Amino acid sequence: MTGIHVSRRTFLAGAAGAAALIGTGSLAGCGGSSNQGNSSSANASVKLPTYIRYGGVKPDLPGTDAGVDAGFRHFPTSRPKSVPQKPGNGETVTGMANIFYAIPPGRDRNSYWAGLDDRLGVNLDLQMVSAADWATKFPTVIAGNDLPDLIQMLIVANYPALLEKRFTRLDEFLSGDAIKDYPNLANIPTSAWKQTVYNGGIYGIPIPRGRIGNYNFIRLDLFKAAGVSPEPKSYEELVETTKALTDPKKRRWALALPVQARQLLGRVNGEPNVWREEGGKFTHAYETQEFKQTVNDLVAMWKSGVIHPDAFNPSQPFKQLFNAGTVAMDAWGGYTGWTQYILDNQNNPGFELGLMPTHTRDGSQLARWTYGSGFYSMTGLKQQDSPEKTKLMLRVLNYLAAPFGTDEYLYRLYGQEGVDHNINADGDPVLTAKGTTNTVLPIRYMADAPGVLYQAGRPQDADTQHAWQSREIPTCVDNPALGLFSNTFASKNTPVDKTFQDGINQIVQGRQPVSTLDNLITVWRQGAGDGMRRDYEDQLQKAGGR
Amino acid sequence: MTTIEQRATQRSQSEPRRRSGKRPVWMETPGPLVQAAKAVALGISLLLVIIPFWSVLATSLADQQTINSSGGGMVMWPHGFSLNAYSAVLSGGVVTRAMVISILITAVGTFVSLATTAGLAYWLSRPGAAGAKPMLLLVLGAVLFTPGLIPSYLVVKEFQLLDNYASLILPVMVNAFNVIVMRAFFQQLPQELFESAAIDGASSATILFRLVLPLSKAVLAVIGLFYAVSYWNAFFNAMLYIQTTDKWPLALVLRTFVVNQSAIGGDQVGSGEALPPQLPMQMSILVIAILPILLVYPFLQRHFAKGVMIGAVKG
Repeated sequence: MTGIHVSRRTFLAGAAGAAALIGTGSLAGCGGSSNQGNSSSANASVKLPTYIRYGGVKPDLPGTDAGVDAGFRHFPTSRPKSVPQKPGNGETVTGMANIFYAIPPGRDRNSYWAGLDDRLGVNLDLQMVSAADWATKFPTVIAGNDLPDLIQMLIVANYPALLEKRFTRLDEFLSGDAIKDYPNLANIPTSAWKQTVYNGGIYGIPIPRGRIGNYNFIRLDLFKAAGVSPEPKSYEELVETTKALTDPKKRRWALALPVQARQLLGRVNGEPNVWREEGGKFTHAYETQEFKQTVNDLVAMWKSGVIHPDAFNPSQPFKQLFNAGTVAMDAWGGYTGWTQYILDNQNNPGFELGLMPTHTRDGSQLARWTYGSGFYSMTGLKQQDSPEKTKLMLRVLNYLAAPFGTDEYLYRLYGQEGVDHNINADGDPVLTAKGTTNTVLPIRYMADAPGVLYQAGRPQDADTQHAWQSREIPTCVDNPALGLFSNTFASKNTPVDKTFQDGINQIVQGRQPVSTLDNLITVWRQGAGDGMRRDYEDQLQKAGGR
Repeated sequence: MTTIEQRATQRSQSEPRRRSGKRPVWMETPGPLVQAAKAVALGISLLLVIIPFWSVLATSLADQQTINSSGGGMVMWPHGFSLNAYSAVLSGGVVTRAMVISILITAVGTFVSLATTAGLAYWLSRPGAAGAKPMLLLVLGAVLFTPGLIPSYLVVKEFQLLDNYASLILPVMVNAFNVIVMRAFFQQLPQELFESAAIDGASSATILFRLVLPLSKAVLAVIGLFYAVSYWNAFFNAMLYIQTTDKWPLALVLRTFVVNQSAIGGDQVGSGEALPPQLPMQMSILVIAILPILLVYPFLQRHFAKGVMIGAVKG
């Protein structure tokens, strides 16, 4: 008996080690370990695609170029076609992407998938890999030398070298005005395109995300019941609010996870967005005085008992707790969680979703929010024998990136009317049970349109989110390391960061004194921090400063 | 002195002095206090095993209200009874198809594995068999060294078994440790029996099929169960080698849904017919996955109890 289980466990352990190794080992021959070709100066001189905002559908609440998403109260009734011609002509296109849902039925039992193939004019064969296995599967497929046509990329060690050797450089197809052949791709903001640039060229299609990055979700109904304002205006008021929301006897707490508290306090204390860059010198948030203050605040918060006692459980179902009302806040939740929360709680009486702005410690002004990366991942196109094949891929991706409100978008998200969705009295599409299981094909990680604020049946949600974003985006602070590649980050950061976080968790729980923070920072610097700093500063220096 | 008296004297001289006439403590019927303590210990162990199973079953039958009142976690007693979670999970046919695939792979895989393992073990257990020694060394080596992730993938790719059900069976068909265990068992069987059969003109194959295997029912059942469980639970191989989700076995479907805390779907658009809550759906898939093993196990249990000590003690 032990034989079977030991061999599977050692297999898995060997897998993790081998996966980390192949990133550095098997690709070491490809381009050397220094990123000669991938410098800030080379990348800065790339001609990015022209940004042409799609104008076929007019939003109720316009977006801004700074990053506020466009808002729609209802699904537009006009459904313009954005792609006049079928992209393909019977070819087979293979792809590989992450899937965050239960897998859909196969093509022979999935009318949505068959219909999509028909509209694209190709046979779309997608390998779907669940999120937890992505970090194992991606390097394995790369090592196997048998790439699908389109891959959702994962940043691994020697990434620029990998891109150069195996993936198509897209400059000739997409740079500048060449993108006009693919108008839906031109609709993707320039800030997202910036992050596809390596080795002085464009190496993939970005999957755009809202620049707002995260929201502070709150249970408005629980805030009202506790009699506290949904916008505490200073550190003291925040602490009072969390205490008012906590009642262990009734199994109620304010926050579910330590990372939520940490990010919340980070905004209050004015921490930088991961890195701070001044005059070419990079300082990480961990090394700042503001972070020390945050850690002290966290210790106090844990002591006061406002964080769920099971907070340090890595698989804590915090979303379920939020739905059930066990915690009143999901601070620092991904902004896309809005739709999921509304869907999950359709039958949950009393559930009221709200957003909480943060104010600075002294309560004098709105705290600076942090920009998200505006970018989820990149789709790489493998090197093909002929440019015609690449153009076919780009046409398929152009179709899949159709903007909100178009006919293609409606099909992509909602499927066929009458089968996968029905249009309700307000003109909003509502997925049927069949549609819910069938439409989860992960094509949104191959290409996607920029996100919009829209909630079927709840026009007020678009207004709420738009108003919050309009308040926060103007003072958002950026992460200066975005758009720069660090080999140390790709290869060493994960375990080193985990060790640091574990150390912080020990301090917060009171098992270690706050004085051990300095030691933790030293260990972090030696492990990855100084290496990352060197990488980023090097790249910046080569460009002669920003 | 009579023989009995001689024996008695010998016994009392060779054994350490015991309470006169009494047997060792563990051979006596226990007193009521000890019995109570044993009952409590066994009861606690039983509860520790039953409670998680019960909780999973109860949660899979719960509705939204019950989940809410339990604070968003597992439920111990479902107040609102609903089979919505099961019907939602079984609709679309993904889970049923994956279950059929899992059952077939387990059945075929176990049969093939048992056949090859028994054959190999028989060969290695025959004294003086040709080539047995180097083969044995190879098998022992396989116990110590397992292949890494990338080499396994490359080998399967070279044999063009990617996206093929055979890739879930062939690479793991023979487990070296099981071969060793079976070999030890075969060696324990009375060799005189085989010698007499050989004298009567039986070939090695006849001895295997008509003598060895019928005598080895216990070890075959045990090793067969080990293989069956490992085939049933295997998700890693499928994750690596199977590229079409239609061919996924149940373990991988289960993992994607439960471990990844994924939704069934719909949250990308935030609209849809109301689905049952997340947790009951995850638990219902768990119940569906455990069911076949639970059904098969009672039939093998009597062999299992006997066979689990195989290879541990001689005779």
